[in-house]
Amino acid sequence: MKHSLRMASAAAAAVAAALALSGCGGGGAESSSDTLRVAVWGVNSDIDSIKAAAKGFQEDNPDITLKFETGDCGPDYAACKTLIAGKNMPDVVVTGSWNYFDFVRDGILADLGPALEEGGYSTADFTPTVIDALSTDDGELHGVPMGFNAQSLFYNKDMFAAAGLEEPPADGSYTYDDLREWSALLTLDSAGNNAKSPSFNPDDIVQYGYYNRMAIVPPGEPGYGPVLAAFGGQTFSGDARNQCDIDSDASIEAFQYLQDLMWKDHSAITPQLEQEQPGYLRWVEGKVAMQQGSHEQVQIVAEQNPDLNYNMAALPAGAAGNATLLQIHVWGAYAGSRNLDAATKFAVYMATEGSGKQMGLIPAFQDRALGEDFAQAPGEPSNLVAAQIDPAAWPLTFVNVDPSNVWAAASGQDGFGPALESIATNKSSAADALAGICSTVDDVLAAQG
Amino acid sequence: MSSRETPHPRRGILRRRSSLRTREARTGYLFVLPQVVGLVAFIGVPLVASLGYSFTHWDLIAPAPEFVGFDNWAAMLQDPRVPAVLLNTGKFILLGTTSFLLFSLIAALITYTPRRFVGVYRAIIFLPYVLSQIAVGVVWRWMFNTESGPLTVVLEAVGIRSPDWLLDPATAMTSIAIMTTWQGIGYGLTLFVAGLSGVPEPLIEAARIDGANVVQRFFHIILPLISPTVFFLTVTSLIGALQLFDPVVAMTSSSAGVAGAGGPDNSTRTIVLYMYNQLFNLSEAKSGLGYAAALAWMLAFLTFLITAIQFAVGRRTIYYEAGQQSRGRSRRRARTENTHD
Repeated sequence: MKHSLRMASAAAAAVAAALALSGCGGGGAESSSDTLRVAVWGVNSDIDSIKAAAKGFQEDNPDITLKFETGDCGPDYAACKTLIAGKNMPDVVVTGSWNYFDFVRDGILADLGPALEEGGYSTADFTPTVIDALSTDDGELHGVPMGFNAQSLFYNKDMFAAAGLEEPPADGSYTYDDLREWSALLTLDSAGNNAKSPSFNPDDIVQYGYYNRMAIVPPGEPGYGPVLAAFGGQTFSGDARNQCDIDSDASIEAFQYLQDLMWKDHSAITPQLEQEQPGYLRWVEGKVAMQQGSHEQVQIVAEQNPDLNYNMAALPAGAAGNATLLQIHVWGAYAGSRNLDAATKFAVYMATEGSGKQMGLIPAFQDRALGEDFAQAPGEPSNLVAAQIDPAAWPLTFVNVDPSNVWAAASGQDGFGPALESIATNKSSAADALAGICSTVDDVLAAQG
Repeated sequence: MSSRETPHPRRGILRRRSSLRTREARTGYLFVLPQVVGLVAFIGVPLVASLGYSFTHWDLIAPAPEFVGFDNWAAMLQDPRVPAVLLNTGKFILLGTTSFLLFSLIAALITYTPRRFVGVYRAIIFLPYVLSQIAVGVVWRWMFNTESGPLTVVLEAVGIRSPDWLLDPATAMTSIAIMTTWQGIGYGLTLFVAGLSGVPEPLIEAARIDGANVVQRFFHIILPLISPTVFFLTVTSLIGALQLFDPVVAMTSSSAGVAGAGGPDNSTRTIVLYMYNQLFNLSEAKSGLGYAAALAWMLAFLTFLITAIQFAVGRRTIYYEAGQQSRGRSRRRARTENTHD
């Protein structure tokens, strides 16, 4: 009997251990009072930059141990949700503007306003467009900016010189018509004819004029978004951004412009070419004259082709004016953290005193973007301030703050994704592809509540 | 003196035997315990839990799931996207499973005949099977590019205009089936070669002497004898095809990740991808873990149904040699023999 009991106990212990292993035990790793778990993501240099920036906090707070955990929680809200469900959420997280309001809606992030004030800072210390994008309607601030990315035009100086063209004005004082013209003149076949020449052979192109991420299937907003805004179009409208507006005349004109560059002028990278080799790599290797991209291109050039002679310019003006897209990385503190005080303190430190040189982003704190942390850092293109920092103040500049689930549903296969695929692959014109699309998308938006 | 005081010698032996049997049984149970615990913890508990979740609504954020009865199941039956993703999955089953079986068998027949380096050929064909589907998908995404992809080059060399493969809704699922077939052939080949090695050579020789040609020998002797292997591979590959996910994500997603996968124009969105989308990418009124769990159980029922049909058909068409037959077949044969007696 005693033996049987022992056997039963052993079996019960084994089952309990297995259940705990399988996550049924109802509890994961928790921070001890002196350990702050920080969820980080990105390439190694991104993570190293965050660790380096956090050293000052560590020196000021020797009683707190920082534990950096690499994973997808931050850029991918779903990854955070699984951690929350498993009671294993880190204390501090780096979200993106693309899912920041998912976190806010679900009450995941603590209000950092009081901690910011306590540290002697205010929202006025940050780039207005950036901090405004993160503020809620009731004035709360559930995240503080690590920094931001802006879309600009990156161009190959040698190709412009060889074509006898003036370089694009750094401040964006040119138009999308100019860009189209340059793109055609910079597209060359193997005989050296440009895309405007009657002898041009579109089946034998050796140098392309332009690359936009519209060529990625399904197309990404960082590619077409700024063009859409400059033409006066947008994806959603209304105060709650819950009305589809992608079928407006201005939006159709913008998408048709991008399609024409690829398929009528043969001067831009198509989805087929993108599959063979991504357009941004073609630009880095000197096979494409211009591309629309963010500051990460600077780092890619430095790593893969440091001899590339390039510069950047602010994006051109469309019928509605100049526009660009900002993508923000946001420091947030988990509202359910046991170390909430330390977590909020750390998040605020990283966005203020510790800001700059984090993940290669443009610092949004005070004027650090103009100093050694960004604009005056070695190896940066000379037009950096005009091309990347100044456009943040343009009236049409916008931040991709639509909650990721809304965006995924509306822009994915249930929404306007197939229509954009059809435009990008030249299966139909922009007008045909987008005709009636908003009745579908509005249903999708309504289903998102 | 009672028998209790002086136990019968035989009874003592029996008791010792019984004690030995108990000890052996306990030892046996201890040996299987880790497996049982593993099965309970990692299969049983999640299985039961997922069924429970299918009657709840949970976005993973709320402290606990909310019981909603059959709401998720009712919503699933009314969801117009479910038939669409099932149709896509069905297309893949038709294309992927058929081509997998066919090309695996052809590869096995080619490499079964003993010749130099046959082991090397088989190893090369098997190699893709051990690779990650995501990695293979990324490589094949490039293979399908219509600018300089090998498939395009080959087609154009023989004067055929290459389709847009992954960029065209008409060919996207076919492209994925080509990739999965290429990756799976090695596994099918291995099992078919094992099956072919069980075909008695004298039987083929006798058929040859009787004048049967190659085709007749294959369809009337080899195929019936390897039918258990064909059946096994059909069942397992079909179950695998119903769970298609990784190759679709690797070959059709962009920077938007899994949320944007399944294109172009919904042509490659499978039931498992839709399940993932519902759980992680969307948050519709009926969405979340509960709806995804209901979808998972619908898929499980579907898999069970299809497999049951396969077994029912298999009973009539699969040839088992003596000693290999199923219990049902043995019982039927026994009944027949008894009736004849």
